[in-house]
Amino acid sequence: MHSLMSKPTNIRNMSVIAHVDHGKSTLTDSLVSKAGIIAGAKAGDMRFTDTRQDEIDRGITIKSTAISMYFELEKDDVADIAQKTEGNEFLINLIDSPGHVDFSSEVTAALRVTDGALVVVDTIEGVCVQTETVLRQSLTERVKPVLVVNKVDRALLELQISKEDLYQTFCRTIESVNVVISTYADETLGDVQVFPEKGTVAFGSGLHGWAFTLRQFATRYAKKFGVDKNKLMPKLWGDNYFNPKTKKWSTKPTDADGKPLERAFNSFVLDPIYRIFSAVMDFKKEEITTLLEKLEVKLLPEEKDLEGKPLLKTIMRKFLPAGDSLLEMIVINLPSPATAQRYRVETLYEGPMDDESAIAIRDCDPNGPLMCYVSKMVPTSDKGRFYAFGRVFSGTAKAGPKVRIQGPNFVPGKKDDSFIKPIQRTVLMMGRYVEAIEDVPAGNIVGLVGVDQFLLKSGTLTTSETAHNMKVMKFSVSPVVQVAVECKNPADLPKLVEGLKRLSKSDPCVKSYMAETGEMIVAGAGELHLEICLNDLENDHAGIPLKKSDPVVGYKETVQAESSMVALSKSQNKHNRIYMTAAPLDEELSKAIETGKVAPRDDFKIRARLMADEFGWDVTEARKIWCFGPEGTGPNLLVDTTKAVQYLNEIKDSCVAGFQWASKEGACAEENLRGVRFNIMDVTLHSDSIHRGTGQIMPTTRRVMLASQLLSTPGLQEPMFLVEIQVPESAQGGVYSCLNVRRGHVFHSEQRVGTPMYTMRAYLPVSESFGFNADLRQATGGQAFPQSVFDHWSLMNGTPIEKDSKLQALTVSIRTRKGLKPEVPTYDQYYDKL
Amino acid sequence: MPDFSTPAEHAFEAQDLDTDPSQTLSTSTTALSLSSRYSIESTLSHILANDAYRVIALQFPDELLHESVLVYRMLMKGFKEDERRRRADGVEVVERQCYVLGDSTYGSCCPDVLSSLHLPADLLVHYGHACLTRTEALPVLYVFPKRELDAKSAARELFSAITADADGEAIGENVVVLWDVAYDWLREVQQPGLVNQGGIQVDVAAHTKPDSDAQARTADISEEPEEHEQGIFSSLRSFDFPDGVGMKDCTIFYIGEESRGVINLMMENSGNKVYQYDPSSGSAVPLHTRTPRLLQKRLLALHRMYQTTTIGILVHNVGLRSSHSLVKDLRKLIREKGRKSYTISVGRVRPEKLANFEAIGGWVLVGCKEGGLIDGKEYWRPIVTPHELRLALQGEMESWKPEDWTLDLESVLRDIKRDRALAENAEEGSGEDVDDDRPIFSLADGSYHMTRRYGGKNDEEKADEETPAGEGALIKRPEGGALIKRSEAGRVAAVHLAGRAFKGLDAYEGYDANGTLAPSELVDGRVGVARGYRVDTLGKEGQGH
Ligand SMILES: Nc1nc2c(ncn2[C@@H]2O[C@H](COP(=O)(O)OP(=O)(O)OP(=O)(O)O)[C@@H](O)[C@H]2O)c(=O)[nH]1
Ligand SMILES: [Mg+2]
Repeated sequence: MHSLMSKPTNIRNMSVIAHVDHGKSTLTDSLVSKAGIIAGAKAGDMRFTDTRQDEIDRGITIKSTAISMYFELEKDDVADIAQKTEGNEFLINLIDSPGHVDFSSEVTAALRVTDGALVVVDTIEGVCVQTETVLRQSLTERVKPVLVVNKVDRALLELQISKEDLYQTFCRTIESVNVVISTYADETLGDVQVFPEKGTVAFGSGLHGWAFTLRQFATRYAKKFGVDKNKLMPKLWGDNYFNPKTKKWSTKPTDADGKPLERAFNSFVLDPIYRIFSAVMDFKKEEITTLLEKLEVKLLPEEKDLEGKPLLKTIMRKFLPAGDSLLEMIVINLPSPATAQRYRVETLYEGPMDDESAIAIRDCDPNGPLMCYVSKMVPTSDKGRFYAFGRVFSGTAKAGPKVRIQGPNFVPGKKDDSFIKPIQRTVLMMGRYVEAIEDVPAGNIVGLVGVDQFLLKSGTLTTSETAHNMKVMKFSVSPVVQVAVECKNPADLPKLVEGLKRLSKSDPCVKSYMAETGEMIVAGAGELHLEICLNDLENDHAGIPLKKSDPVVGYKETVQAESSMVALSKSQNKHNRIYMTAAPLDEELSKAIETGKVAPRDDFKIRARLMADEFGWDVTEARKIWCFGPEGTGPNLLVDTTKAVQYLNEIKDSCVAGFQWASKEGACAEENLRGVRFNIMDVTLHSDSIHRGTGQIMPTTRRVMLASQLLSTPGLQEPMFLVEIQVPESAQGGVYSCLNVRRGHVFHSEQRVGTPMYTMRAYLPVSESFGFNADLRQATGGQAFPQSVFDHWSLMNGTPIEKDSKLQALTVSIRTRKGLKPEVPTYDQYYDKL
Repeated sequence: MPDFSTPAEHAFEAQDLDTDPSQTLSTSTTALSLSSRYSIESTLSHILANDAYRVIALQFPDELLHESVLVYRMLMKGFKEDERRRRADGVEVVERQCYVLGDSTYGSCCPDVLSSLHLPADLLVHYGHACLTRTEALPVLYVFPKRELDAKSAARELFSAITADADGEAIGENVVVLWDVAYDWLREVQQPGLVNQGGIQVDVAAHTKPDSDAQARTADISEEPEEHEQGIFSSLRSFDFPDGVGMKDCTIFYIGEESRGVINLMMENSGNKVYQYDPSSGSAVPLHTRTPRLLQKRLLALHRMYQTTTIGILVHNVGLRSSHSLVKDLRKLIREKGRKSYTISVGRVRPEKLANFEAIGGWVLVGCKEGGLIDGKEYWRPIVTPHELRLALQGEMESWKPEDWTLDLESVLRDIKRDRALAENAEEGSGEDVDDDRPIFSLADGSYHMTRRYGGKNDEEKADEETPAGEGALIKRPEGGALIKRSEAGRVAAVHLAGRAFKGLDAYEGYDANGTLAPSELVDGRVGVARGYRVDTLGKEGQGH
């Protein structure tokens, strides 16, 4: 194993990604069984990667799990690998990921440490929402995809569709996948669309343990017909027809006499499979025997007595073993770390591309400085301790020598968020087991012991003095659903605190913190995610009985107009006055700030240019942005629009502090502000600096901001889910009625070609989403499958300052929950008369 | 300096510390005459009994100041009569003089030792609501407000509240009754009404009026730790527990309105059930259900403290027992933990005053039982108690337990001492490999925080690395000037300065390129008070009141 690990050309790191329930974990098992960890017969029954009790109970994957496998490629096939390779032995590190949207952050963490993705699509359901999402994510991470069309057995057994129909179904699926790929393709990655004739698409059944690519059949027939398999492969797909009479290939579906010809794929590939299926399922003993001979499949004595499905499984598994075909596809088509890191380095590393770390990553150099990215934490059997799970991109990770551990807030040259500590141990992650290993060279996936104390969720490990951070992962989900937890017994509070910390570590996306009111808050991506997190917290991390509030959502405060007049506040000593107005920011700009396209750390001149070009700002004003907030990064801006005010630069820090505060706790409900631009119009200051200290200026800035917010038609924004629902036509009515009562609206509905199923897309306020899935199930007789993911902030109708309005009632309820005075403040509480 | 003083409006605004006007002497029981409301008789006899009391300070809360003259007159009249009597009897005449203390330096619940010492006074008479924190700088005579109480109905309500609450569970055997000082005058009369509830051991707290004759002495707490165990709190409340029973085993009854005092009481006894009887509404409610949330808020303040390197020790009162030694000890502790401290006293604490100290990341408040806790929202930086600071400085190793929460300064002193002893032992034992620089998970924002430390063991080497990027420029050494070796504190300040946008005036202003100083001409500075400076064009401000 170790000798393989030090050959980066012969390693493949890949994730298995797909929509929920498309069969990732089952397929993974069938691959693992090939590697000899699970007995062959058990593949498909036992989950190697779903190790948690709740995963087993619910039958879904919650956490991603990694396994390393050894694979030997046929010597002849090595030539087909288009990248540098040494010998025919390979190490495959595979990560099975969850398919439910709520756990997307696990997928993100998996993609970061892998170079290839095995995209699994259910033959019958086709490309679904989450298929698209994860595919998009993998492409932005520059992870190359290959496709498996899974659950083919269902098409044969349940639907009993004809060969040509099956072919058409395959085509559609492949085409949909390619549409997504070409939409999000990254130029550097080149054309990564998948084609059966190129061997980048497999078909199979994870449950039955069989799968094939056209390579297998091409190889088989190449021997038989004595032609080159690489020439044969393209003929086995698309509009290629073989005329058995003339022994000629044609691209027309009819022969010279106008008689129909059978598509080569159908006759050469599907035909044997169909025959096996029908022979076995119709119990035609003799036909089975002849078929077996023809296909050179030998049954063991004890297998001869099997019948029906078990026999079918056994035969298919021997005929087209999933492990062989898929691993072959992976090894031949997916990039090795040595290949991938060349083009991934730009998207992985924050520093300059010519420093020693960048060069070592690019070359996947085991002798270069260590660069290791920790993408998530995996709990150990030792409670409260975690393996830091990540990938060595350069250098060699080993126990002993000290390395620098850089958290996400690390800035080169500063000491913040970095520690110099030794790695205690290195391990290989093998599903539910770990294996100790001496050292782990570049290109491998690794578990590290001892690092968890210094990183909360993720970070960079390095031995280079000058290394920058590896880029922080961007998650496609955000923790928008919150629950307040409380321990039943107050004496357990310390345990709850410790539990929240562990919970926070154990999941890439969950947030746990304390609200201003002293409430302990757990925030997750959706109801399911929260439920899982709270279970873990209660039963594992804290281990104490908990009281949980109903889920609530966080809102954002904003403004809907320019201030109706200039707000003025005076400092407490009355010697200083600040004049300010507020105005809404473009939604596009708010988004750009949130995604980091416009960022506080950017060079202010470049940023000003960008804001002028793309968001219509005045360049001089854009240059005078004092800060972003809250937390120095949020989508609110403080802009200096004053003209030659004396001492203004001296009070800047105080103003910034006041701005951070007010943008964190807005005037209406003390929620974060979003999309507000504050203009400092004028300032009069006492000429003696002692009278314009922070104590005078900071609270005044805050007050004048609150006043100007209230003078600018304040508003609330609520988080919206994008819900994608798959539903048969007959049940659509149920979906509409279910959404209507929850203020949701469908904006897109489309029938999926070749199926009776519709895909509906709707926006649904997160606050209305609790219990939605259960209601929907009821309203549609269990026929609709929704997936909700946070999409955007939506401005709510009305303003909280309008008496007796709905929005005011909502604001009051938020205020009450937070233990604030229920009345929404009026501007004159912050406004001072001249 | 208006920034450091309390604004004039303060006198008209509601008081901080939630003083409820009904708790004050003037409105309490209007049926009583002024002289009995202010216990003139007993005050006089107390004073007259001691010849050493010659200068007597009278401290009134702001809302009673208007009656101070009447009280003053009555007392002085008493003194004069006594002088006359003595003269007549031929005994040595003792001339006594009363002074009314004006604006109190800190909260009105504690004796204003500072002003008394300015006189200097031999005795301080403290009127109105008191927090009962021990003071040892000078003898204090407390005159509490006097309010009526129907003990029977109080007892009935309280017992029915616990029975309703008990839900079938056995009610604790022991009950301790605490009451607002305003009911203390009824103690003798009312106690039986409370105690006569068969079966349950009821103990009524005694409000020890301190032995005013005792000489002021500096407390050395370590020598008398048993005192605490016996249930004598550092405040002047005491209980006589039967053998084998401690505070922990008791249910607490509190009689009085909700105030900071009772909130603190709840938190200090988070393990106990607390029921409050509010005489104004005449009903009893359980309070302990709210305690966890209150403590969680405190925990939040503690977590916010994790990230601070510069801590302000806010002295909210002087002359409290142990406060002086605690301040000294906290300073030492903060230094030991590699942080920087400033000790600051601002009189009455207000948000604007504290925000002026912009370099300070968090405050520790050393104050009395009631004023020792401030958790107003308007404060920019967290304010913690000494107990919480001690835990915050321990970081992850901290053993925060709700039941340990205390405002008691002496027990914090003891704990710090114990920590030190433990640390020393541990150091001898285990060697160097203690990872005390691990980042801390702060629930304040749910993320890890690394704390910068200064002045640690290997700080000498670190010194150079710590230099923030922007500071290089300042190291340029002027010819002939001494190169200032930055002290540990200097580094904290330098790091802080590096983070600021405005870095103040150029330290090398006036030096030319060769580093020689070319002094500028002297000009007339500003004169006058802040609001009226009229030297520059902008000098009109201040008039715009
Ligand atoms: N007929 C058939 N069923 C399959 C096949 N693969 C998986 N299944 C079934 O599909 C269901 C879901 O399979 P999983 O492997 O758990 O799916 P998954 O993609 O890992 O699901 P998540 O991890 O929760 O997203 C199980 O009931 C499997 O038995 C297949 O090839 N054929
Ligand atoms: Mg799964």
